[in-house]
Amino acid sequence: MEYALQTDGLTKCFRGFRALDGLAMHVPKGSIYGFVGRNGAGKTTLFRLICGMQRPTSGSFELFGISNGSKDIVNARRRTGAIIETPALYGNMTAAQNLKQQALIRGLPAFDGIPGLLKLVGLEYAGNKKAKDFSLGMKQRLGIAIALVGEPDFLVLDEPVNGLDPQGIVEMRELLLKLNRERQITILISSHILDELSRVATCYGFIDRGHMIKELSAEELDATRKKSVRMEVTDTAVLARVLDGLQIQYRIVSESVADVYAHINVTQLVLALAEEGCEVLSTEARDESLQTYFMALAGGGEP
Amino acid sequence: MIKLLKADLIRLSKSSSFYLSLIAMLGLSVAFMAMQATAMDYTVPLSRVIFLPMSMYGAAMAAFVSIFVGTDFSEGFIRNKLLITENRYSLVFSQILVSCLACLVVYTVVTAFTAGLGCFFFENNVDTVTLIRFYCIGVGMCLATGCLFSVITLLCGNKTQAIIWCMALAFGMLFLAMHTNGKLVQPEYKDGALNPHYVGGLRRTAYGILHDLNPCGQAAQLSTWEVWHPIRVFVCNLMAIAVSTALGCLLFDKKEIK
Repeated sequence: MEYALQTDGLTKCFRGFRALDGLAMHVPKGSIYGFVGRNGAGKTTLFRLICGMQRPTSGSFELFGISNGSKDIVNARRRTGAIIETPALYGNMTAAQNLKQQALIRGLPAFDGIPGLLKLVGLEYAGNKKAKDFSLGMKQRLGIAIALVGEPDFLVLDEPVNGLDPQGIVEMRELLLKLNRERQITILISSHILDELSRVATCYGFIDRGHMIKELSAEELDATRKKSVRMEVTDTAVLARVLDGLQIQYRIVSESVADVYAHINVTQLVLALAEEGCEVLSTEARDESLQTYFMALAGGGEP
Repeated sequence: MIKLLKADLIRLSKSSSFYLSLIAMLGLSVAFMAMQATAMDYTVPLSRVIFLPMSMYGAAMAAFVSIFVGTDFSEGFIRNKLLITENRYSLVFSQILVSCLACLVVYTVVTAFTAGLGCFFFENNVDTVTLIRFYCIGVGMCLATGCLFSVITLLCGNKTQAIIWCMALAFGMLFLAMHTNGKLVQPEYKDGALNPHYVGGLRRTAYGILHDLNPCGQAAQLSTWEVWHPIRVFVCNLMAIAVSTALGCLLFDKKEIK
């Protein structure tokens, strides 16, 4: 498999603190790679290393097969667009002027593509508006447009949906899918909104304290995630007793709600509960969420 | 580097801090001329006015350069530049060149404005050759100033911190220039007796070098139409530019950017 990015034992220390600790990561070409981890897990540090803002303490990474130690890494970086933490844009310039700045830095001979980029991110009406007057969502979109100047093959997006309204999140999702499908851009994306991430990602990497704890494809994740039935009953103590008797795995969520991890015979279970005087109020088939999967993987704590 | 330079020059042309610093220096020039024309009870020659606004040039340029270069850090655009640029040296060079150019433009416009307007209000005792000679010395001062403040800002990597450091340095240089100037202008003899405040020998040379190394010291000499060691000033400027550029390149190359 060809990789847009792979890291090998990548380590970054700050005054004795290991922000990245031997990270091994593989971002396949053409994928949307969801990078999941708690605050301070090392996601942004990795992005800074890739983008040349900082240097690794040890280990290495390859961008499009070019090692970070090679002089050609500059050419590989030029095939990359990035938003790290906040969108990089000059507030006193208009959206179009910001894109021109990026085009100049990239050494593009003409600015013909600017209206198209503004249209792509839904800012065609705001090209002449100063960036400082933009909402957070508009800034995020302009940041993506800037990252797309020069038609990069690899996009690195650190929390791109932060601060977006629900409509903005949907538009961002559609934009990322469009870029990936129509332009074959590989996207490395970190987000704390895991539900949203699960709608776009084709691969996942779960990082904790600078380590890669699990790396898998979306299909593998689907197969791994536990299926469950959420049951609302009048007495979960009775439900627990009955499920114990049937040797079925479960988790009590509240006084009246429990998740049952098995393919159950509903009639049999309802009858068994009725005999014990417990009523079933509702049932709902559920997949384990990405968040629950991560929490189980990382041992609790919000990502 | 040419790409970065082009982008930065366009940014400079749209920079409000650049125009504000230019307007502030022009305002200062008018204020100094008004003071000289009205408050002095002796006739002030034009030569004593032309470079007078340069006494505050360091502070004005410290503010402008730290804001202009610091904006790349505060707005995050430095990340886009680092991603694309072939090496960090070209980024340092482009920032230094644009800052120096801006400093030169402010210096030239303010000097031309003061000389042009001053002709009408002050006795014209200026000969063109001396004016050109002093203007060229001032160019060195500008370049050293632009270089120094842009390197400090790049190494700070934070706009607010850079403004504080650059302004503190600018005022430090101003007070140092007042101190060294006060020492160097003392006559050897006063009322027929040896002046105890006179500094001679090696100490005088050290004070002189300190005065010439300091852009504010150079501005003080220009404003009094008296540059004691023009060659030394030239060498000092050359050294300041070379050392600050080399240090800027070396340290910024190792700097961890957030």
